[in-house]
Amino acid sequence: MPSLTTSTAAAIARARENAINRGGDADEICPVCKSSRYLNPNMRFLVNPECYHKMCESCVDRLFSQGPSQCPVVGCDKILRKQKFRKQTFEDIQVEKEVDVRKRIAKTFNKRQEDFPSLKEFNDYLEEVETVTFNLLNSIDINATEAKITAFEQSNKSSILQNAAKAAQEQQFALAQREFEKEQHRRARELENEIEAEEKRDKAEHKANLLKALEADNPDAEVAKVNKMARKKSSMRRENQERRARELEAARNAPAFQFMSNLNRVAEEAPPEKYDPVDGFDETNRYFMYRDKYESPWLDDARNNKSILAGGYLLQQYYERAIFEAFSGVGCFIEDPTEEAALPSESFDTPMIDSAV
Amino acid sequence: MEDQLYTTTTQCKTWSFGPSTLSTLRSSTNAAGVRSIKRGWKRARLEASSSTNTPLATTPIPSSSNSTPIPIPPSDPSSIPDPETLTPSEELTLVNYYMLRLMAMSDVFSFPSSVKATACVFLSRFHLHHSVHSYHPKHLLTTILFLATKTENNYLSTAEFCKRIPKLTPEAVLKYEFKVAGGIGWDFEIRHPLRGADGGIMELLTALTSNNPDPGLQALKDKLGQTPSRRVTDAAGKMKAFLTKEALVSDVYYHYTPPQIFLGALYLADKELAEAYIEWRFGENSTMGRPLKKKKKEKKGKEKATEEDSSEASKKPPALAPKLIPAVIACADMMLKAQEYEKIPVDVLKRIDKKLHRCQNPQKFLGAGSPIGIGNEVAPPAKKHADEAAVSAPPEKKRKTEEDMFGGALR
Repeated sequence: MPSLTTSTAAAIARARENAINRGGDADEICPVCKSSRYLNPNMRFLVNPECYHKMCESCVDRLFSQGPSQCPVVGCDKILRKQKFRKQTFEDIQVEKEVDVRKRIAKTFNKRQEDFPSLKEFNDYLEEVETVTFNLLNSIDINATEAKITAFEQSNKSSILQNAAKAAQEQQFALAQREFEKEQHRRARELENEIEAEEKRDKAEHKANLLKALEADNPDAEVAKVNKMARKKSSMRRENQERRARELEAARNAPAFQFMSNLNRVAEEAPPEKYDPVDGFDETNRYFMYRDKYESPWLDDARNNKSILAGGYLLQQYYERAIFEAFSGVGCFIEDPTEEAALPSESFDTPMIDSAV
Repeated sequence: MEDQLYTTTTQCKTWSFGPSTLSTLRSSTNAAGVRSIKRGWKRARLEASSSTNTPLATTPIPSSSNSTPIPIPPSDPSSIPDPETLTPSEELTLVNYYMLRLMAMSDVFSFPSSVKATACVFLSRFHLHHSVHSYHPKHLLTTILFLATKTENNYLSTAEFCKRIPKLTPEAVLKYEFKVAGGIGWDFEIRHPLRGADGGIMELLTALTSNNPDPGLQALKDKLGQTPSRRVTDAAGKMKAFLTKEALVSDVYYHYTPPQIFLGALYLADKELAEAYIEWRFGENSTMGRPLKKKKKEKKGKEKATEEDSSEASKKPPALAPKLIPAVIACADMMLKAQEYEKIPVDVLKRIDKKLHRCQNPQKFLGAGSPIGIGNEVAPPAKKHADEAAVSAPPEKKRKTEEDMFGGALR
C-alpha cells in the first residue's frame, strides 16, 4: 500500500513540474530565442525576480554567462545577473511575484502584537504593511514606498533584529518539539516490537521446554513444572512491559521544553475574589426565633377553615413573615446625613404649566 | 439579618429622612411649586397685556366648591398683584386633610387597612416631591386609591371602582396613574408596621401563655397584672387604630422603621406595657425570644459553656433598649401630634384652598392665560363639539361601515 501512494504522489509531482515547465503547452515558445518545446522537449524556463520576464535556460546561459547584462525583453532595461535566475514555483507569474514581495516585506516588518499597546494600533500597523505590499506589487509610488521601507528599517533596526531572533528561536523550538515527538513515537514503536519479539521467543522456549518435559521420566510433573515456570515468566514480563510503558508515558509528559513555551507568556492575573451569592448577608436572626405555633386569636378561624387551608395557605408562612416584620429594622435609626452632599437637593417637581399650555 | 434586610428596601434607601432633611425637601418642593405659579402668572400677564381689548378667549371654568368667583377686571391686569402662595406647612396641612379624605374614601369601599395605609403613604410621598401648587391632591385621590388596591393585591376593575363613587369615570381614575406612579418613584412596596404589629403581639401572647423561666418575661408578667393576655389584646386593638390613622397622617414613616412605629403605637396604647415589652425583648439580659440556653450549657460541660459565653459576650452587641426607648417615645409623640390635623377648623382649610385656587387660575383674575397645574385644564370646547358631531351626525355611514364585511373605505 505505501509504495502505491508514494508512486502516485511522485507522479503528481512530476506532472506538476512538467506542467509548469511546459506551461501546459507542447508548443510553447521561448519569448527570447523563439525556440519551441516541440524541438527541445527538455526546455526549462527561468525567471529573474528583478523583472519576472520568462526565458529559457539556454538563453540565460547565452546572455548572462559573461556577467550582468540587460534584460533581452524589449522595453525592459533591468540589469540581470545569472545567479538570480531561478525556476518558477507558481504557474502564475503574479503569484510568484507576490510571494517574493511578501517574503521581503515580512523580513523587515516583523513586529508582533505584543509590541503594541493595543490591538487597534497593531491593526493600524498591519494595514500600513499591507498598503506597502500592495504598492510594491502594483508599482504605485515605488520610490516613496521604497523610501518608507528604508526609513522603517533604519529606525527599527534593533527591534527587527530582536524579532527575527525571536522568530528563529520559536522556529527552533517548534522543530525541537517535533523532533522530540518523533523520538517518542519511535521509542513507543520500538517497545512494542520488542514486546512482540519477546513474547514470540518465550512461546517458542515454552514449547521446547514442554517437548523436553514430555521426554522425561514422569511427564506430568515435569509438564506442570514447565507450565508454572512459563506463567511466572509471562507475569514477570508483563510487569516489566508495564513499567517501561509508564516510563515512556512519563517522558512524553515531561516538561522537556516547557520553559520555552512560557517564554513570552504574560504573568496571569490574580484570581478574582471569591463570589458571595448572598452579598454578605447572614441568615441568622438576631432578635427572634421562630416557633411552630403562636397564640393568635384572630387567626383561629383560618387555622381550622378548610376553604382557606385547601388553597395552600400556610399559617407557618404568615407567622414567619409577621414575626420577621415585627423586628426587621428595629435596630435601624434614621438620622439626618452628616454631609450635606448626601441630601437629595433636587426636587423632581415638573412645572405643569408648560404641559398645560 | 433583619436590620440588614430592611436597609435594602426602597423605604429605607430612598424614603427615609432625618427631620431636617425632610423639612428642606419640603421647602424645596414648595419653592419649585411657587416658581411654576410665578411663571404661569407671568405668562398670563403677558397674554393679558397683548389682548386687553379682545374679548375673553377662555371661558371661566366653574370654580371649585369653596372659592368665590371674583369679578373679572380685564381693564388693567398689571394692577393685580401676584397671588399669595402657600407655605410648606400649609401645603402639608392640605395634604393631610386630603389624606383623611382618602381614608374616608377607602372606608367607603371597606378596603383592608393595608390598602388604606398604602394609599396614604403614596399620597404623602407623591407630595413630598410634587408641590400642591402643581398637583392638587383632590384630583389624585381616586387614582392613588386605585393604585393602592393594585399594589396590595386587592384589585378591583375600574368599572367596579367607579360604581361606588358618584360622577367618577374610569378615564379620570387612570388619567394620572402614570404620573402618580412615577411621582412615587415606582416604589410601590410600602413596609407597613401592620403585619409586624400582628407578629409582635402574637409572639408576646405566646410568651405570656408559655411557662418560660425567663426572668425578663417574669418581670413583664408581674407588671401586667392579673390578666396579662387580656391587657395585651386590649392594647393591640388601640394600637391598630393608631397605626391606621395617626401613623399615616404624621411623618413617622419617613423617620422611623416599621417596628419602631409599631412600638410607638403600642406605647400610645399602653405605655407601661410597651416599656416592659421593650425591656424584655431588647433589654440588657434579653434572650431575644429564645428559650433559655445557659442552663443547658452548664449541664453539658462547664468549660465549653464558659468558652461559648465569652465568645458570645464579645460578639453580643450592646442592648438596644436604651437607644430604642427614646426613639419609640419620640415616634409616639409625633403620632400624637398628628391628631391635631383632624381638629383643624374648616375655615382654615377653606382659606388655604382659596389661596391655592387663586394661584392656579390666573385667567380668572387677569382675564387671560391658562390654569396652572393638573386637573384644571379646560377641555377645548371646539373639540368637544367636533366629537359630538362625530357621534351624532353620520349614523348612516357608521352603520354602513360596520355592516361592510371588510370595513369602511380607507381614509
